[in-house]
Parts: sequence; structure tokens; C-alpha cells
Amino acid sequence: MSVRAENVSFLYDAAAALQNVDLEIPGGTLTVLCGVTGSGKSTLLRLLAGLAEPAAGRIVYTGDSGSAARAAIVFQQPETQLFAGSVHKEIEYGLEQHGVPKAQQAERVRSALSTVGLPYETFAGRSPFLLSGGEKRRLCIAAALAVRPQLLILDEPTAGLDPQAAQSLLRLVQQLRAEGITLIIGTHDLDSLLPLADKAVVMRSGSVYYDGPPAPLAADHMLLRAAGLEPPAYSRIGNRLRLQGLLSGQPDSLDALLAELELLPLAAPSGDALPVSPLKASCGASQAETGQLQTIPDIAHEGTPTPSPAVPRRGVYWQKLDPRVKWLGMLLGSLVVLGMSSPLPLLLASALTAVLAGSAAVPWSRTVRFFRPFLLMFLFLWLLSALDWSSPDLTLGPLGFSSEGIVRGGLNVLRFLLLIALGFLFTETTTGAPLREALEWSLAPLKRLGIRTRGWSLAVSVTLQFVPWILGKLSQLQLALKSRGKPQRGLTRWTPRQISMLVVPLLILVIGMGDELATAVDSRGYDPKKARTPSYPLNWRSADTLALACVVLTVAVLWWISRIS
Amino acid sequence: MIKAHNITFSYRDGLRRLPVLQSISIHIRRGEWVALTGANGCGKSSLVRLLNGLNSPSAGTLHVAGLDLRSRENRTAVKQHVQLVFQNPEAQTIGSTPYEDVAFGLENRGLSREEMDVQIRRVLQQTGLAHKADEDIATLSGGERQRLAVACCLALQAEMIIFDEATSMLDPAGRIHILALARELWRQGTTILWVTQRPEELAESPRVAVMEQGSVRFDGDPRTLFYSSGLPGQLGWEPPPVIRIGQLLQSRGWPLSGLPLSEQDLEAVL
Repeated sequence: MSVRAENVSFLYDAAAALQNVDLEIPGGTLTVLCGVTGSGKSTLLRLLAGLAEPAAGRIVYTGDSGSAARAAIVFQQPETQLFAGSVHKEIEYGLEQHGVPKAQQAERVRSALSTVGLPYETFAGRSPFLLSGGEKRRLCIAAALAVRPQLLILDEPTAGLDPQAAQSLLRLVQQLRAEGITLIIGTHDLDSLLPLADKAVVMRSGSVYYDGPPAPLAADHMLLRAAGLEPPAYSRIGNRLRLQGLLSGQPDSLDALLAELELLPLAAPSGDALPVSPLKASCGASQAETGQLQTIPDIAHEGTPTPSPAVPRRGVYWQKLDPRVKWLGMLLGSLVVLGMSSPLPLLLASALTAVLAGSAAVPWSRTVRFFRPFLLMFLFLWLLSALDWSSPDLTLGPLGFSSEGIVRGGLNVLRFLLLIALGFLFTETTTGAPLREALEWSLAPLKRLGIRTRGWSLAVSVTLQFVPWILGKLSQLQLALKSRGKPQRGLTRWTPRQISMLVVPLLILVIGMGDELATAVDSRGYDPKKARTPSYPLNWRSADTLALACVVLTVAVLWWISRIS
Repeated sequence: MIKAHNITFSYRDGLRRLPVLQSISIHIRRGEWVALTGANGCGKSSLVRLLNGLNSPSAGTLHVAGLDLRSRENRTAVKQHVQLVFQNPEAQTIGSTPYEDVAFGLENRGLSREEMDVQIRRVLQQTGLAHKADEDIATLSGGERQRLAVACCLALQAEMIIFDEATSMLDPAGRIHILALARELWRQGTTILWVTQRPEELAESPRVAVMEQGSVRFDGDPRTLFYSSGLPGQLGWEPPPVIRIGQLLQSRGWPLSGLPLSEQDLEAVL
């Protein structure tokens, strides 16, 4: 099956991630897609896999044999695409989703595991989460292959693997290529993959920068470096030797380079031996002993585009406000919202929160991304509160709903959403250090009782800071789950089984991240018992008094309205 | 800097103990650059955690910067001397701006706020992040986050920095920048332990240690490792292009001392 991108564009938060991409991937070929981080490579891979729709243009598949699975994708991080309790179930899930008859499933699982070099007897019963990095990646490929896709997309398949695992993965890629599957591989590993490819595509700033055979690309060092990529080592070496007059042409692989060198006499040098290591020890031991560090040359900008000037943080007024004002505002606001039981004050509070979010210049896309995972849960809670079996005002099949329940449920949902919105506003307008200081300040009475509160404030501030990370991982898991099944839209993507499948891997990711962060905190020598100089000083100004007065007044008015309505 | 003698380490799994490191002895002098490698799960990260005092050895003796790490106090104190840059750039930022992140490690070092400010700005300048000091950390690229991790190590005036596969999640530009930064620090006297899976980085290191199943299988110079130990073949490594050419030269009778380890070496000898 061949794939064609016709004038494809894609937007992320109104910014163009891909612009007018035209690309033809012939059937049965191996295409290497490369580009630096942010070049649009991964976005294009997702579009080609059918996991996202282009904002403009279209993706066309030709020669589709009509089999259940057209394209399958394996993402870079295997830990965000494993869901099941066993290796067997992991592969079986995709087969079920594609409607493969039960009788054929076991054989397909066995065959897919065998293809990727994971013997069924050894691995089928094991937990996918306890496999090594290389084994996890092979399992993901097996899960993709089991549905017999006509197009297989691999994003950075060798990244982070040890040399042995990477070699074995490259052999698998060659084997799949020989079997006639159309392969697209997103990679930075040009040394390993360019010699295997039939076609190479380089992305730069969301556009196709090169589209053609791999050999001329490997030889064009200027083009590769302009795209932020390093030419393959065999090509760099070949180029040097060609300039030295040792080679007549540019080799297109390491084997070609070695074959040419075989023909040369290459007499052993008679001069001095090479240094023990290319890294010459020019360090001064005296510096090491004194512990003094000199200024390191600013290497940050070598070979990279000039950095843009510092962008002022959004909502500057909010950022400057003492975090205690925001903390108190969130606390008082939450209390008064909890006491609201009629629509008018809740609607007023919602409007006010929206105005505050607007004045804090929180981007709309960020807000949507934050609230999206909660919406389904709240919809479910709303329906649950509205259920009435005895005297329903409205029936929907076997379900009955009362008007009173619908209103009551709606108000409860709105109340919860407002509480979350207040927390969201607080964390979006307060960076980690002020947030931590405000929390410590609020916990100060406990400190006076001899309770250590430093760990608490640190844990809360770091956890709040990682909420966007958790939501990002949830999106990655959803995308990976979506990639295993048939394309589905709307609420059909959200069966209880799918939701339950996300819980375990998300928990594993969060616990893993918590462990890594705790290690990072520990390794920096954090000691809650030691005296501390906060880098952010709490500094109450007259503007803060005014802001607090406004908060108290607003909260009082809302409370009064909630009493009289 | 590091004197490890016969150290073993095991994790507790219920009533069982799972051995991870077995009888490891390694000495690293002040100002050395040592590259450490081994297959995933061979115990590299466990060793790194011992050296930074995050774990303690089950047996054997371990002295880091003159501190005996069998004592809990010394395991805390060693963090003033040895710092880590981890593999995952996301999992080591504690502040929400680069400034706050560097400040975190300095807060209980007994410095005044002014001293902290000077130090933070200096290390951000050194690592090329001064213009991003107050940016949201989420807007930093992976390479910038790793440079920030190095800035944190510099602020704490670490004598030794361990880069635990710190470039494996970066694109080529990010990898080159971190490697260049580490080399510059080494030239200025910092002891570097560079944990990597890339054979070409091993070839360019003055000293290489290879771990296998919890033990150090090789500890020596890269020329011996790649040209006379036979170990890369036994471990299933594909030699990097320079070494493949060197092997061709070796088959023509070139002496070991003339075999190349880097592209610069090749240019010099051919």
C-alpha cells in the first residue's frame, strides 16, 4: 500500500506544526523520516497513521487491500503504550478491536511474538510493565504487527536501546522490509537507518526540506546541517578521505567505504603513536583541587538558530501579586462556592472566574486541554445525579431522569468545575517557588506546634506543577490506545473498558515520575531539617492589600447573593 | 575521588534479596573522565545511585570524596561533592522556571539571598540559559532541560558530575551540546562519569568501564577494549565506523598504538 500526503497542514494551538506537506511513500518501501525536535516529524507520522486529521489537505492510501488494519504506529516511549496485564493480552486487545475471530487470535499472538524474537512460551504470561526497554519496544511492534497492517510506522525505534537491542531491532526492520510491509521510520539515527532506506525525507520547521533517495542526502552535509542533523559517520569519514585524495567518490554506506579502503595499500604509520584518547587531558589538576570553575564558553548557540529574546510571562500583574493573596482568594472562593445551592450565584461566580482567567491571559487552548479529561467524568456524574426510577419526568430507554435531578446534578457539576477552575487559576498564575512559600506560610501555625511542614509544601507545589505533565501522559496513552483499535470518533472512544485500561499504565507512570522526582530532590541534598533561605521572598505591598480587599468584597457579595437567591 | 572495594548491592523484594551489583571494585581519580557502559539492566544506574549516596552498599567499602558512604551522614554530605544528571529531562526539574530550579538546591546551603542570586545567574550564564531564567520550564527543549540540570550541578559546586545516559533522549544537536558542555567542565577539572550506550562515545573516552550482569567486565583504555579485548563482539555490539576501519588497518598489521579511535585520529593516520 502506498501513502500520499497532499498539501497537508496541521495546527497546534493555532501555530502551524505542518505546512503544505506533499509526500509520496511508495508501497513496500522503507522511508526514513528525519528532522530535529519540533520539525513536525512526529506530527506527520501521526497524520500518516490516521491518528489525527489534517487542518488542510488530505492523506490518501492507495492499493489498500481492504484488510482490517491499514496503518499501525509504534511510538518512541514504550511505557506510554502498554496497557494489559500480560504480554498475550496486550497483543490480543488489538486483535479484538479489529474483529479478528477468537479462534485465530492465539495463533496471531504467537506468530507476532515470534516475528519480533520474543518466544511465546517465555513471554506470553509476563507483565508488559516488567520487561526490559528493548523487550517492551519489541512487544509494541508485535502488537502492531499482529493486526497485519499494510503500513507500519516506527517513531525513533532505536532511541535509548543498548547496542545489542538496537542491532536486533535493525535486523527486525530489515526482515519486515523484505516481507513487503511499507515502513516509515522517524529517526535521528541516520548511521544505522539511512543505508537500509529506499527513500529519505527531511523535515524542517514543519515543511519537507528534502525528499529523495538516501545516498545523495547522506552526501549533502550542508543540507543535513542546515536541518540541524549530523551527517552519518561513514559519510563524514568518506568525505574527509575523499578530500585527502584517498577515495574517488562519496561512499553510500559503511560497507562501501570499507570496500574502497580494502583496495588501498594503507601502510602502517612510521611516526609517533596516536594519543591514548582523543579527549586530551588539558585539565588543570590545580583547578580541581581548588574547586574553582572558570566561565564556560556559551556553547548554547553553536549551530542552532539564534534564540528568540525572552518572552515576558503572561499575566504579569497576576504573577506580581503576592501568592498569599491568590492562596486566600482560592480558599475563600472555594468555601463560598461550596455553600452555593442556586443557579444565580453559581452563574455569577462562573462569569467572574472566566473574566479572571481572561485577565490572567491563560491561553484558551491550555484551558481546554486541562479541562477536557474532567468533562466526561462530570457528564457521568451529572447523569448519575439526574437518575430517577420512581417518577421520571424524562425517559431514555430503560433510564429515567427527573427535572429536579437534572438541575441539582447540573449545579453540583458546575460547583465542582468552579473549584477546579479556581485551583487551575492559582497554579497557572503562580510559579513553583511563590506557590511553595504561600503554602508554607499557610501551614505556619502547624509549624509552631512542632510539625514539620516543609516536606508537605514541597510535595504539594511539585505535584501541582506536574498536573500538566500527567494530563500530557494521559493524552499519549489515549493516542496509543486509539492506535491499537479501529478508527473511532466521539464517545465510542470512551468505553468503560478503554477508560479502565488507561488507569494502570497512568498510575505506573505517575508513581515512576514521583520516584524519579524524589530521587532528584534527594540528590540535590534537600534536607527538611536544615535552615533554609527561600529564593523567593514573600513581600506584601499596598497593591496586595487592595487586591485582598477586592477578593473579600467579591466573596462577601457572592455569599450574600447565594443567601438571598 | 572514588574508591569502591568489593561492593555489592541488592534490592529487597519481599523476603528475597535480588543481587544487582556483585563485588565491584573501581577507583576513579580526581579530574578523570570515565565512560561507563553495559546493557540495560546490568546495574549501571544502581552503581550511580550508590556513588551519589542515594543508596548504600550491602557489603564492601565505598569512599567518595574521602567520605565513607557506609555512614548515613556521609551519604547526605556526599551530595555536596557528587551530582547527577539523569536520563529523563522531565524528571529532574523541581522549580517551574530555570531560576527557581537552580535555587532549589541552594536554599539550604546557608547562603544569603544575594549570594544565591549571583550564583544562580552565573551558572545559567555558563550553561547558556541566562536569557531563559524566568521562562516557564515547560517551554524548554530536552537539551535545554539537560543543560539546566548541569547548571544545578554547577551551582552546588560539584567536584564530580555523573551523566546517567543524559543524552539518550535528545536530538543530535542537544546531544552534541551536552557532550561539549561536559567536556568543557572536565577540562576545567570536574571529574566526569559518563554513562552511555553509544560505542563512539566510549571510543573517545580516556577510560572505559564495561558492566555485565552486575560486575565490571572491563576497565581500561578504549583501544584495548575495541581492538584487543574481543569483548565488543562477545557483547554483540556493532563497532562504530572508525573502529571498523581500524580493524581493517589492524588486519594489515598496524600496531595497536596507531589504530584510530576517532575521526580526528583517522585523519591523522591516513
